[in-house]
Amino acid sequence: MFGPLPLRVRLGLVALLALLTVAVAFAPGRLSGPIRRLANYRADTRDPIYNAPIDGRAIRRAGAILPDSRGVTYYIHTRPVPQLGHDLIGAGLLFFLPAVPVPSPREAQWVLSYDAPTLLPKGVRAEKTYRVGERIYLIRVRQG
Amino acid sequence: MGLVAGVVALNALLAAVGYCVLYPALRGRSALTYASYAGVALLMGAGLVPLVLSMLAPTGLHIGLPAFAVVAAVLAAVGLVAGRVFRLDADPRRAVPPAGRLEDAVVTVAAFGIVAVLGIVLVGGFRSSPWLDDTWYFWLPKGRALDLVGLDPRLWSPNPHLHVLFGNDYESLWFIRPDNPLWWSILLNLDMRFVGSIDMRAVNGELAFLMMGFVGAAARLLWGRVRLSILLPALLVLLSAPEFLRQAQGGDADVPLAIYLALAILCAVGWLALRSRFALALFVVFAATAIAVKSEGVLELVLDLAIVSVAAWRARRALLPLWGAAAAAVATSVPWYAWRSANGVSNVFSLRNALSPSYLRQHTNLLHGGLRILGDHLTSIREWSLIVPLAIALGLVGLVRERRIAWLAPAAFLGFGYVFFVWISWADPEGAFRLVASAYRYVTPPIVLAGIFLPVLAERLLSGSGSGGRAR
Repeated sequence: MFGPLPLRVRLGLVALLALLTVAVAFAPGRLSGPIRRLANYRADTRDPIYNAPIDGRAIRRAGAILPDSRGVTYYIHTRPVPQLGHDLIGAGLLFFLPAVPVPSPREAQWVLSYDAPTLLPKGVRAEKTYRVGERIYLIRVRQG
Repeated sequence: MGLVAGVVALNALLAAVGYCVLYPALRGRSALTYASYAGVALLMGAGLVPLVLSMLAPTGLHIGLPAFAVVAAVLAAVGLVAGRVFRLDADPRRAVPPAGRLEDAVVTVAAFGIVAVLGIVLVGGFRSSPWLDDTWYFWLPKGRALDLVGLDPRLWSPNPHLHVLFGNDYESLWFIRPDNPLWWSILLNLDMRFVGSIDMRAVNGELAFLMMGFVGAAARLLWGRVRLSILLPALLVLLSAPEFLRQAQGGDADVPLAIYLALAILCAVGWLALRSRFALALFVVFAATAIAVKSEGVLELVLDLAIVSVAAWRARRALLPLWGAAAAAVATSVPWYAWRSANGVSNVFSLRNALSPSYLRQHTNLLHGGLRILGDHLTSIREWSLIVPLAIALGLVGLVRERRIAWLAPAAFLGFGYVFFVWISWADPEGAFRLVASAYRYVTPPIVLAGIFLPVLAERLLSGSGSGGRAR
C-alpha cells in the first residue's frame, strides 16, 4: 500500500499539511472562512434555527407539560405574523406530538398563547395557566 | 445517551447490521478487509433498517426503538444465515502502490485532505443545527409522529379544514410535502431516540456519518480498479465541493439521496462492466434506499438507469438482470405508494400538468426561470468546484479518442438531470417558489453522481494512453 516515499518524508509531509491546516483554521479574515463555516466555530444550541424569534426553552417547557396522549389537541394563539405562525406550527409538530394541532380554539383542549395581544382567543376559558416564558403561556381550556 | 454518544451508537449499530448483511460476501476475509468495508457496511445498515421500517409504517406500527431493535436483529440474522447458505464474491482488490515519489506524494496529500475534510465535517456537524427549516418543520416531526402516533392520515392527508390564518398567510396543520417517503424521517427520529432528547445537531452529526460512509464506500468499491493517485484526488474534489459541504449541514434529504443514488448507479455500472453479482446486490439496496429518501428518487433512478442502459448497449444481455434488480428496488416502496393512494396523498409534481401542452404553454415563464436558475447552479464553480467541467471535459476527450458513447454517461447524468428538473419545475403550480427555494438542491444528485465517475473516467483515459495501465 505504501509507495516509494520514505517514511520520514511521508511523516514530514503530513506534519507540514497538518500545520498548514491549523494555520489556515486560525488565520484572521477570509482565509479561515471555509473552515470556520464548516467547523461552526460559534456552536449552535440543540434547538432548531427558527426564522422568527422563538423562545426555544419556552416551547420545550410547554412540550413537557402537554399530556403524552394522541387524543390531546392544542391551538396556537399568537400575533398575526405569518413567519411567527409558521415557526410555531413547526415547533408544535416537533415538540408537542403526540398532541395534534387544531385550526380553531373551539376544538382545542390546550392553547399555546405566544406573545399574543390577548391571553386567550374568544370562545374559550382558562382552566389552568402555565407560564412557560416571557408572555408565553400554555393554558388548559374549556369551552366558554 | 447524549448527542455524540447517541449518534455514534446508532451508527455503530447500523454498521454492525450492514456487516451482517455483507457476511455472504465477506465471510472468511481478513480483519483488514472487513475494516475496509466500513463505509459500505454503514450505508447498507443505514439504508436497509429505516427502509424496512418505512415498509412496515403503513401497517400502523409505531416506528420507535422496539421496532428498530426487532428489524435490526432480523436483518442481521438473515444476513448471517444467508452467509452460511450461499456466497457472493465481493472481490476486494488491493491497490497497487504508487510507482514514483511524486505520485506517492500526491496520494499522501489527497489522503490527508480527505481525512481533514471529513474530520472537520464531523466536528462541525455536532456543533451545528441544520440551517434549512424543512428539517425541523416536517422531516423530523414526521419521524416523531411515526414513533408516537403511527402513520396517522390526519397528519399526512391534505385537509382544507386544517388551515390557520396568520396575518395574510395561510399555514396548514398537516405535514407539508406529505408525498415524500419516510426513510429520512425514520432515521432522524432514531437519532433523537438514541440521543435521548430533541437535539437538532444530531441531524448534522448523522449527515457527517453518511458523508464518511459515502467516501469510504466509494473508495472501497473503486479500490484497486482506479489507481490511488487518481482515486483519492478525485474523491477529494467531490468531497470538498463547497455546496456539498454546505448542504451536509442543511439537514435536508438531498445529500442522502445524492449519496445513495450515486452509489446505486456506480454499482449498476459495476454489474455491467464486471458482471459482479455483489455489485448487483449492492445496487438493489442502494437504489431501494434512494427511492425511499425523496419522491423524485424513483424518477432520477429510472432516468439514470436509462442513460446507463443506452451507454452500455454493448452489454445488453446484462441489462435485463439490472432492470429486474431495479424493479425489486422499486417494489420496496409499494407499501408507501399504496398507503398514499388509499389516503389521497398525491405527488406535488403533477404528471397531468407535465404532459399537458396547454398547461405548459401558459407557464413558459417558469421554463425560462428554470433554465436560468438551474443552469446557474449546475455550472457554478463557486458551488460545485470542478466536478461539472471535469466530467464534461474528460467525457469529451474519451469520446474523441475511443468514439464510444459510454464516455458521455456522466455528462448525460448532468444534462438530462437538468432537463428533468426544468421540466418538473415548469409543470409545478408552485414551480416559481420551488425554483427560488430549492433549485440549488435539485442539482445535487446529478452532480454528485457525475462526480463519483470522475475517477473512473480519469483512470480509463490514463490507462488507455499507455502511461499507466496498471489498474483495470
